[in-house]
Amino acid sequence: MLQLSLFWVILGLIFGTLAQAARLGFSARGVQGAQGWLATLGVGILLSLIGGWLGTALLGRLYGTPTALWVGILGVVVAPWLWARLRRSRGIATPAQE
Amino acid sequence: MSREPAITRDDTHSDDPPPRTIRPSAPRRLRDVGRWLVRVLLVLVALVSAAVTVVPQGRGALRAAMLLPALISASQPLVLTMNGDEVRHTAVTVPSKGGPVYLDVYEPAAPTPPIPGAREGVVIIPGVGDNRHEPQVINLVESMARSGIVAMLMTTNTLIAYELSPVDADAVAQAVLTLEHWPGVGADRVGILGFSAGGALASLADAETQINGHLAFLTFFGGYFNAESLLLDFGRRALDVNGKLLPWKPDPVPLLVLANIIASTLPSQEASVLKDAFSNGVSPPTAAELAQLSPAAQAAYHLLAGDQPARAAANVNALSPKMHDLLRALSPSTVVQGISAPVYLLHDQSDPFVPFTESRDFDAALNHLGKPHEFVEFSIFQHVEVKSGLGLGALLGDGIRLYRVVYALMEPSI
Repeated sequence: MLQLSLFWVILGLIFGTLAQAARLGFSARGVQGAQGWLATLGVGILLSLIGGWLGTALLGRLYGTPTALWVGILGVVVAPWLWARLRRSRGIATPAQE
Repeated sequence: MSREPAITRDDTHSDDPPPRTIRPSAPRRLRDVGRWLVRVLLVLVALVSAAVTVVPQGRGALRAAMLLPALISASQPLVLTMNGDEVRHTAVTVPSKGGPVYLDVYEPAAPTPPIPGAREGVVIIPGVGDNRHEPQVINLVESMARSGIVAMLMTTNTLIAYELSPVDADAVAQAVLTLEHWPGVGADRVGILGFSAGGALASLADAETQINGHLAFLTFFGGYFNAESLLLDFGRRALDVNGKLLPWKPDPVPLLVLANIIASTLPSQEASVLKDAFSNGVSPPTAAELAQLSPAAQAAYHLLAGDQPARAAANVNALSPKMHDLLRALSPSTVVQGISAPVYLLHDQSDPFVPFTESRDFDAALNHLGKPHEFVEFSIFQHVEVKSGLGLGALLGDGIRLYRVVYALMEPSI
């Protein structure tokens, strides 16, 4: 399982890098510099691992890696978008609350 | 996702020329194309991987795709050993009407996953002889177990002795019942994979024993349909393919098995002459020894020796009523009406053990009865073992056909 988990970490890193290259990561959503990269890679690693473990627990070991794939990709695309939306809605909500 | 239109210059001075589109530079266009390619790649990978985990049919497709390379290459690929389960092996012996049944269970070591909640089980009858330690058989059962399937190899003393007996149908039934109650296995997810003569026993078990109606599938690889027509093909050393007789040279192993089967109906002296004639390293009987045999035993000898091809049909007719009864009792053709499970027939076109025309006859009978079945002929196997040094064309063509069958066999697992 350790070997597979390491593999999923590598997958997460690859998705994070690809998402950054495709301007889908945190850097494209306003997080500047190294922080944008780190956030995207971190989300990729974390969600790939969660996906892999969840897939293994629910469907069996054979399905761990495919689950890690789609959960990881979904994570690196959706998490920055959600974060940007959240920030925008807070930015709009804050003056109204004042 | 941000869309990046061509940049337009907003210029309100009336003297200046009208607004014009400024095309992005070539490196930037390349970057944009690359960005979109990466996006498409991510979407495709996500969609495919979601389909093979979330959709039940997708899970079956992935399992079949993992298993197929192991079947074709006769070794477990890295992707399967890395992603598949650890394998646990258990040896069990259960009683049956014909004697002990030796079961070797290969199963995933991990607990049964909550989805779908039960594993598929496959009883594998690896034909005559003791094939429990054959590398290709071990590769098959371990690959199945790594893919999440509980694979049970079964054999009996009769099979190990290169013989066949109708009573071993009960041994198959006992193996199926044991697997149905195996921890983690779904009772409605058990099927049989019968290699060579194992297919006949599986047919008899499904049609005539208490497991009728229990099985998810019956798969016969290189099996026979009618033992008498099989004997006729051996006798004339030719196959009737679409009305034309094509020369055919059988392997010595099925000759030995048929000799052992027929010998069981003969007095001991005649039986040993017939058995010895087709055993390895034993010289053929002399003319004097042959002359001492009964007409039925002589007919059986000539059919197996193939020395009277023109008289093959007459020799089949000359077999004793006891021989005919035994051959009929060992023939799936006798019980085909009672078969309840979907049948998958696989056969090597150049099979030297059992003519592929036997599976064609089985296919025709199932067609006639309107029973659910599928029939596939291959060229990448030699009887039931993978040939070495195969060309890409043969691998691709047969690989796709084999994938369809493997996928169908994986359906009970989803």
